Amino acid sequence: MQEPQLIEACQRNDALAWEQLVRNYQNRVFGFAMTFVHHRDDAHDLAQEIFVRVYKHLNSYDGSSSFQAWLFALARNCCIDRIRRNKVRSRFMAHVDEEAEFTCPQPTPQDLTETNNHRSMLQRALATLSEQSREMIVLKEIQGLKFREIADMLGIPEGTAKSRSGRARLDLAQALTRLGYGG
Amino acid sequence: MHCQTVQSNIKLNQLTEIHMEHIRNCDTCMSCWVDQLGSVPDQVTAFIKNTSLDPCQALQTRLIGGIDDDLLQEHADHCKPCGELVAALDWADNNLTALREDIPDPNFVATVIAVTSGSRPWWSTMMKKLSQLAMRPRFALEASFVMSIVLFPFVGDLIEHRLTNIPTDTTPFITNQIQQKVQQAGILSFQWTQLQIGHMQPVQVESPWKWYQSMTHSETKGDSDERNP
Ligand SMILES: [Zn+2]
Ligand SMILES: [Zn+2]
Repeated sequence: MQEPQLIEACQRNDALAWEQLVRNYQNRVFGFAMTFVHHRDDAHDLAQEIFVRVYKHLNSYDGSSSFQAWLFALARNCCIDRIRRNKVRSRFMAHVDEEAEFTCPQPTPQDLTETNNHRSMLQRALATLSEQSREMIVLKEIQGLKFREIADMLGIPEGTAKSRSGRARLDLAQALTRLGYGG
Repeated sequence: MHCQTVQSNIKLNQLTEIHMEHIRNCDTCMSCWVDQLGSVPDQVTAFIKNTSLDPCQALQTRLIGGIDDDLLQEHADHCKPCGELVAALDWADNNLTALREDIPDPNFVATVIAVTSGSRPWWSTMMKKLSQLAMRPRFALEASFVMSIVLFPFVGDLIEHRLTNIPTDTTPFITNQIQQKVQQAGILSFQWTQLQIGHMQPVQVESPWKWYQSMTHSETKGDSDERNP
């Protein structure tokens, strides 16, 4: 089934189609969640929350934008809500670091392959960026959205999206150099 | 420094180090500068080459603007920190897509299905059903039939009660006119609905209006034909 038909079927409450849609997007959504929270357990929770929201709001998707742009706009809101909630919570918990969201765990044995080394290095570099820069890297460089789609999502002019993206790339390169990325 | 000043200097290609400092830190002026680079690349390149602007900062500014050209490469080849920066950027470009996907635990899909089954709000499903129902020709006809019965007497009544409270000489005349029009529209709408139900045709948005126009138009046309045979 092609994606538009699959989405229409989901909108008609077709359970099998919904399962297929979740399967098709689980890795993308989980990857997206990982760039925001880094801990697998948290990322599972967040990815699940994103799919619940997609399910609830799927009927409002009208096909006027690409489905992935719609999905990631919704996922982004979900992540922002989560971060905001955690920040509020951390204010009440004296021991929790405000930026705990973005600190990376020590490498696990899973991280020892080269790809995983690169991943963990990039995650660490991303964690040092400002929220704005990190978001640009995630949306543009990682998820491959178009500048037009990002501009619509963030409610900014396309030119601003472009220059923010350039600034974010520079920030990332500087962070990688500082961390001695080993490239 | 105001963005306006900077942007007019960008257009005139009269940039100083102070302008460049602003451009580096302002998204709006940066995108203006990038546009200008697109239209007159040689001029701006020449400016960067001949200016007293710190070459490392010039390189960073170009990176922010997404400009990757010979001038940038030339400097990066001869400057260790900038060379490292450009190399780090290349490395990031080659590896960032690895973060696009990540594999969740095997039971992830099952968990999502379990959590979402039946969790769609009732009104969302109802609205979808209603909109699908509304796609059927019959639904639109039924709806317009009900509306014509309910709306027109109600509107006529409302107007009558509102306007008769305003004591002017012309009020009864206006009220009469409006009531007549409303009644006429109500009757026509009723007739049209019956006609459509007879034909069982899907309703086009503009069709009731067109039909109304053709009815009223042919009426006046018929009148004038009678007057001027
Ligand atoms: Zn400015
Ligand atoms: Zn340099």
